[in-house]
Amino acid sequence: MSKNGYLQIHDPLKPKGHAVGIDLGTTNSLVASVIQGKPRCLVTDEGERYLLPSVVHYGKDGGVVVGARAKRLAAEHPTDTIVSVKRFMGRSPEDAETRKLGAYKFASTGGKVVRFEVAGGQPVTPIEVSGEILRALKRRAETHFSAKVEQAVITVPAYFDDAQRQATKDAGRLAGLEVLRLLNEPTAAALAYGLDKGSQGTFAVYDLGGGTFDVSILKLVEGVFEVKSTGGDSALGGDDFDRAIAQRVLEAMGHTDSAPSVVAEVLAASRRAKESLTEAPEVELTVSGHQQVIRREDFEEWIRPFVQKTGVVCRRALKDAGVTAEELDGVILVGGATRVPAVRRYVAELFGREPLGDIDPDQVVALGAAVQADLLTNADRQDEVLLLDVIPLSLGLETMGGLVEKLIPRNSTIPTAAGQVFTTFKDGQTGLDVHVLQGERELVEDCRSLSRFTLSGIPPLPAGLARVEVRFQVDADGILAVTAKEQSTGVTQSITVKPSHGLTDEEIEQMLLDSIDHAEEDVQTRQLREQRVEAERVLMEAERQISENGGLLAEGERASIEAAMARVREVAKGNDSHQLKEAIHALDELSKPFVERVMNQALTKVVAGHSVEEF
Amino acid sequence: MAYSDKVIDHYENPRNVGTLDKSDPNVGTGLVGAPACGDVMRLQLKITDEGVIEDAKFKTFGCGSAIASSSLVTEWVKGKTVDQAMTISNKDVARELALPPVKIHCSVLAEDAIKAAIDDFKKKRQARQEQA
Amino acid sequence: MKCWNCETDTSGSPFCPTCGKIAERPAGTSHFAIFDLPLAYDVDVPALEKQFRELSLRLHPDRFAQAEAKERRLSLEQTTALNEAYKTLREPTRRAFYLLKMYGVDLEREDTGTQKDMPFEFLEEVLDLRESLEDAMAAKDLEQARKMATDVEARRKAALTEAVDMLRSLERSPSDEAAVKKASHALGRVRYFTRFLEQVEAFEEEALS
Repeated sequence: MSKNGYLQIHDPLKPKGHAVGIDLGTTNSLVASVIQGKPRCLVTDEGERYLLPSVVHYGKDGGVVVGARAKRLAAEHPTDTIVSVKRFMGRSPEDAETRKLGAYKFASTGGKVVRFEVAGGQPVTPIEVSGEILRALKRRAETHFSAKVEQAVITVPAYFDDAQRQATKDAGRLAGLEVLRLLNEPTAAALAYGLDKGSQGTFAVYDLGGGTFDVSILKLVEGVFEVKSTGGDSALGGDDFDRAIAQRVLEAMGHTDSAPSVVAEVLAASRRAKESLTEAPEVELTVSGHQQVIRREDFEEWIRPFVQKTGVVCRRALKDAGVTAEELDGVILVGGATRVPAVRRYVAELFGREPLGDIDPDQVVALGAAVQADLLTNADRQDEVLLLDVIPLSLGLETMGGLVEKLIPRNSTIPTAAGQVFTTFKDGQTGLDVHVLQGERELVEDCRSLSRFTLSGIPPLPAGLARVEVRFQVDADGILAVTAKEQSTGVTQSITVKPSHGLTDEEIEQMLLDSIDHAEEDVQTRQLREQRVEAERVLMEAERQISENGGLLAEGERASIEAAMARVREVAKGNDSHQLKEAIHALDELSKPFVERVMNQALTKVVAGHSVEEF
Repeated sequence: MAYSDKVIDHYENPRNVGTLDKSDPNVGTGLVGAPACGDVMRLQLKITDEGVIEDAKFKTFGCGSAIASSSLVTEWVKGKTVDQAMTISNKDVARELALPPVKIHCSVLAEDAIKAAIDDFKKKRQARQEQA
Repeated sequence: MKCWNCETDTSGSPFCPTCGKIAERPAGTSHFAIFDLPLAYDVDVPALEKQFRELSLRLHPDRFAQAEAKERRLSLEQTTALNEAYKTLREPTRRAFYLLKMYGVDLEREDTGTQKDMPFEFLEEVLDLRESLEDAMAAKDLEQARKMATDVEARRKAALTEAVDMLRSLERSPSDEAAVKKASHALGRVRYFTRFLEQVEAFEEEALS
């Protein structure tokens, strides 16, 4: 079965290749696979270790760079470098989450889908940006195995709604992956723990990532993981902590409406400050010549509202699962933001026990996804473990002007289905509007609209005689299909509606075609592109240092550095990526002593209470 | 589902919510419930000695459809005679509010509430006549 | 039911006894039948849970991820039905409502004209309760609302016990109309009390967040 849209010949004798698990995170992404019976995160060839920063840079020449290199370009090219793209998956430009503080330039194309203006071509959608991250991870896995990798389990926050799930699945398709399963992140984490410990019992998974918060209550008995309840907030995460710092810093700097480059810089510095505060009681933040001491105490005060918000969600999840905190056998921490001491303290207090953290919270989700990928593709393992997941949000229909009738309540075990019979209100009425919604509130405007369609072809009958059954079927991925059948006359008509995330199937198809071209670009070209971008960055940095700190150059140093720069420029025009890499390396080496002097001077100035003038 | 624009308004700004004096001989009280959802509806009518409904109040604890149904019928019955009010059927309510089958019981509730209130009023009047 | 693959009679079992392929379930298979249980209120819940896990392990779509489209569809259908049955039977209140439906009274669907004849005094009491709760909510008096909830919860339990007694007696004499009526009245009360408790919960959640 090919879900990729292009022909694949299935040969039962040919091994299926390696199936991988992917944690597509807001801040970082990882790929893992089960190797000799154990899940392991795969390391990149670029020395970035497990975490691939979820950052995508679009260059002027149309080249795309992903990961740590793209991250380094964020300050220089804030709007051409997309960070935290996960926040925008399946969201419209009007969503509150879309409008939070950030260095993005949105294309004003209208429509339901967010598009970013970037260098080197057409605006890109979050699906395409995520597709690039997934493609980079796929390449990483292929390099590791020296073989094609085509099947993956991708994790999503449990609280992702249908549009966000669809968008993630489409991103997988764009990357040339058959998405075996979308797996909820907390469930993945539990899977990683469960298999590691062979444990039984009821566990809470507290997952605070960069942009999303999830909590799930799971029961593990005899190899069956039953998710009892899940809850969360798909617009709450460690990024909010960064923004909490950044807002205070921007205020202190006297900025009201800052340029994207300043915002990006302040956000990056805020993130570093947050990370340092895990160990240090206070930290000095320096950005664009502005200095500010951030004390842990203050930081904890600023993030308190966010942390407390997670508590409300946890209590609801416990109640939905019908268990008390005392009845739990353990609490599992997932996500980088759970490193924040205030979060750990809060969780310990909330659940009345110290949380487990022996698996690296950054890796645990990817490891669990790898386990699930192995379970789905490896027939030998199928009797061992099974996951029974739930839908996070209720599904319903608009029943009368603006009110929602729930058909499937949240936390129903999937797959699940429900039906509702509707009728006509006018004599001879032949069409019926069906509006599908997701959410817990009673008013349509407070829920998320998944799909709206008209069932036509109802035989003309007196009012109230036609019988239209609208049926919801949620599959094991948590994705909904809606079918409407007219049954009064024995004439049956079915429509299956796939809820959309603002992109049409045609648009997805086109992206798919484009991405195939893109994917087939050979390794040589890609490396060259990446090196060119790197060259640009290194040259800019060198120029900046020379113009700012020219006084620190030793005799003759300027001339030799400038010669090395000229060499980089020259080679960048050619097509030899290896040569370019060497030229860049030479420039780096040559300017090292100079850069060290610049650093030392900056430190001295800081100590003396001066500030470096902003460039 | 041909949506009526008025419906949401009846839910968000229900008309005639309140209580009339239960002991007033001219007030009839109807009380009905819906075990399907556990909702209750109280409808009170103030009826002149000539049998004209001069005021109507309701109190409904229930879903949006139930609130809208009761709000709608209190508007309809005002100024009507008792006999006219008795002819209001749940179908009229369901059609006006475009209720789907699963919510038809809300309109049935409203119809039953009118009937129960008028019934109560008639019983009171009969008791008064017997006393006199 | 004939097996779609080898045409053996599957007699309603989840897998074909001959070829072992996943089978089609006859439409309208009861929740009890899915677990091979008699139509009776008393269910051994731990045993039900165990059976649910075992059936899930064999029927779940994950087991058919690489199988043919037909088998994937049947796995989806069977697992959907299994989940619904499990949810209904595991929980005493849902189980009682479902059993009552098997005796012909569907409290979910009032448009069919069943059962709105709760005693007037009871409805009056419910209205008073709801009004008092409304007052407590307006005054943001969580304490008072919780106190009321404790009382109502006890009454809900008592009503459920009464309904269960009737359902058990119906197992011995299924055509006892009076028992059906008593059971439906008792479950009706359960429904009103449950609704009240839901309101308190919603209020608690709002007050705490």
